[in-house]
Formats: sequence, C-alpha cells, structure tokens
Amino acid sequence: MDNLLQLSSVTEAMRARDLLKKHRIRALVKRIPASKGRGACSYGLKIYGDYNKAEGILLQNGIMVHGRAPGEEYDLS
Amino acid sequence: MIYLDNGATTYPKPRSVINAVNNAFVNGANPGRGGHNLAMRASELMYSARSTAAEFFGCDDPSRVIFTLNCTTALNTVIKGVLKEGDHVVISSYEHNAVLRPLEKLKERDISYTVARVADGDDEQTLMNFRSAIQSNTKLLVCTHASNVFGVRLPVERLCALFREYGILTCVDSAQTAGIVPIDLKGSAINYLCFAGHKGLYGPMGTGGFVINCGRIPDSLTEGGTGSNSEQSAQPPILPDKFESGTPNLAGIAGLKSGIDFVNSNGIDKTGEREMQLIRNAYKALEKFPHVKLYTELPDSEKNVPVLSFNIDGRDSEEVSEILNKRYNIAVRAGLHCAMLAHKSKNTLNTGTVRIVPSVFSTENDIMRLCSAVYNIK
Repeated sequence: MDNLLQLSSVTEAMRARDLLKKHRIRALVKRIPASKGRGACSYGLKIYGDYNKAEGILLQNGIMVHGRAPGEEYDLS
Repeated sequence: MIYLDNGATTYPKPRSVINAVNNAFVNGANPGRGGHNLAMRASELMYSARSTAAEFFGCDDPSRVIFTLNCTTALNTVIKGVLKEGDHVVISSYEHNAVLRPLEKLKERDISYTVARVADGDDEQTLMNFRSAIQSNTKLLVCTHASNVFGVRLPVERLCALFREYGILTCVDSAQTAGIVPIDLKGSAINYLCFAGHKGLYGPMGTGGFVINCGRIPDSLTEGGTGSNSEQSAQPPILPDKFESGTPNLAGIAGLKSGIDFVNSNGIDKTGEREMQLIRNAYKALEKFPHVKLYTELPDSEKNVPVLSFNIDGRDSEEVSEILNKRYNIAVRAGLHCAMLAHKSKNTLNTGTVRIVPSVFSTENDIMRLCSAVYNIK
C-alpha cells in the first residue's frame, strides 16, 4: 500500500511533520529507498490519520508532496 | 586570563554548548543521508538547530536558514550568488574584509562597488550618503550591522527600506550584533541576513550561516552531495540543500543551537545592556587618561554595540596588546581587525587600534583591571 508521503528532503519532511502536528495529525519521518520511491532516495512521512487531509494541509502551506511510496517495512525474516 | 577578545570569538563557551558538542559526537552520524537511528537522530538535531535559529531571527521557515562555516562564507555565498556581470554594489565605510575582498575579486567580472561613508551618530547624513551612492545598475546593498572595530551601529533597517524603494536587494552582516542586538526579520527590508555562530551566539568556531528573507534565491557557491534528488546531476534547487553540499558540521551546529538557547535564557536585551554598561565604564575610565586616545563618543545602546577601540600615545597597538597579555594576562585584539575600510575612515590604518569586547562572562573587575593596566602602560 502506498502510504508514505514523499518529500524533497529530510528538512522538508521534518518541517511537514511539525506542521501536521499543529493540525493534530501525527506523522513519522522515514527514509524512502530508491527502489520504493520515485527513482531516488528521499524522505517521507508515514501518516497516522487521514492521508488526503494531511496532503491537503501540506500543499496549502507550500510544502510540495512528490507522490506516495509503499510504506511497508522490508521483510527481514 | 581576562578575556576581552570576544569580538573575535566568545570565550569561554558555556558548559551547555560544550556538552551539546560532545553529545553530537556520541549520538549523531551523518545527517540527511541514511535512515538508521544515528543518521535520523543527527537529522533531527540539524533540524532542531535550524528551527531554533529561524525562530531567533524571526523567520517562519526553518529551511531558509542556511548553515555555513562562518559569516565570511555566508557573505561570499550571497554576494557571489546574487551579482552578475555589470552589476554595482553599495557598501559602508565600516565593512569587514569578508565583504570588501569578495567585491574586489568580482571586479574581474565587471562588477563594481561604491563605499558610502557612515556619519557616526547622524543617521540622516548616513542615509543621504548611501542614497547618493545608488546607480542605475545597483543590484545589492551590503552593510554591516555594526563596526567590528569601533562598535558604531548602522541604521540597517532604514537603509534596507531605502534600498528596497529602489528595487535593490539588501544583505546585512550581523557578525558583531547577532546575540547582542535583537534582530527580527518579520516585516524587515533585510533580504539576506548573514551571521557568525561563534561570537554573540556562543556556538563553536566553524559555524555561521545566512537567512534568506525574500524570493530571490542566490546561485549556489558549491555543488555536491546533499542526500536529496540524488538521481539528478544538477544541484537540487530546494532549501537548504542547494547551499549545503557535503557533510555538515553536526557537532558545531549542535553547539550553535545550544548557544542560541543560552542567549535566549539570559535575555538578549539584558545581556546587551550589561555589556554596554561595561564598555561605558571602560570608556569613562580611559578618557581620563591623557595618554589614551579614543575614537568615538561615549557609547550608548542606540548608536553602538559593546565594542571599544583605543590607542596609547607613542605605542603601537600590537605592542600594547603584547604588554597586556604578558604582564597582565589580559587578552585583547590589536591591529586592523580584518577591517581596512573601518581603519581608513578613522585614520588608524598605520597604527591599528587596541580593541576590547566583553561577553556575558565579563565582570566589572575585568574592566577595572584592564583600565588599571592601561594606566600603567606609558
């Protein structure tokens, strides 16, 4: 399931996280490997709540979301 | 040791700063690259420092705070990143070589500059002098917030507002004021604010930066790995990555964050007033000595920062500094203070001056001992 919002940098991801916190949406900054992102390593936000609402808040505040990436963990078994 | 060379770098550093530096070495790896715990912790530390600095300078967006090695690198980045062939720049007669030398270098690219004279204590005259220096091709104003030699404050807000009326970009060098004088970029006409991390902000040496307070993003001075957009060969345009290629000084920046917290906890107004009182007391004592020459009026908080220069008749400033160091264990800074223009404006290019700058750790006793020592050097 694509449930990580992909952002342009770690700074942007943390800025987005703090903004969402002010809107009472919890988010966690996670690394997105190239194989799961849009061809490049980047950072994303795992959202604990409504993804569409979170994405809307970020866009309204000038934080560009570059798409969604799969959020499941690697199988380390 | 009585340390009064805080204009060069503040010493000692607060214990909290030293602890923060140590903690960064123990708990942090390379920020903004990996996803493991140490890398993420380092990224959080960088972001926290960026947010602290942004709030300190009244900037809403932490990504607009760019960390550099020092204020000189910040000034070089803004100056060289904004100017193009044929542009003209206005600077003040108190600029540090961190401004003068990049502009001298840029003459090779047909970029010229004019030095506008600062009229000490007469802001109206200073504004007129700067206005007169504007040309049709003036692109940028670069102006120190206060002289690092004589402590004279410039009316930077009024100057920047004036230049904004002409559509000219503005850059302020706050090396001697950040942490001493409150700076609020909200609603300010300052477009780029350059700062030193290791002076009034009490961070480690090797830290500094600039805040971008407008839509005109300068070109980058250095390109390379940023941990972002790695699939692209071109430097990413996003902030702060555009200006922060290569591994950052995590420990230094952690210390800088702690330094800003230290300044906030002491209260910037209170600290500035206390240091100004020390400088005023030094001035009042030194002006009574017939063999001492001072170069400004009695300093006050409206027109000055706590920086004072003097000379002793018949002595070279370097000699006075050496005597103070060897005989009295007092650290001051002599010579030209990397500010040729400032010394030129006061006719002290040949002699230099002895400069004293207190910090939050300086005491009334330190100032009395300095004055007593100066009295005895004849």
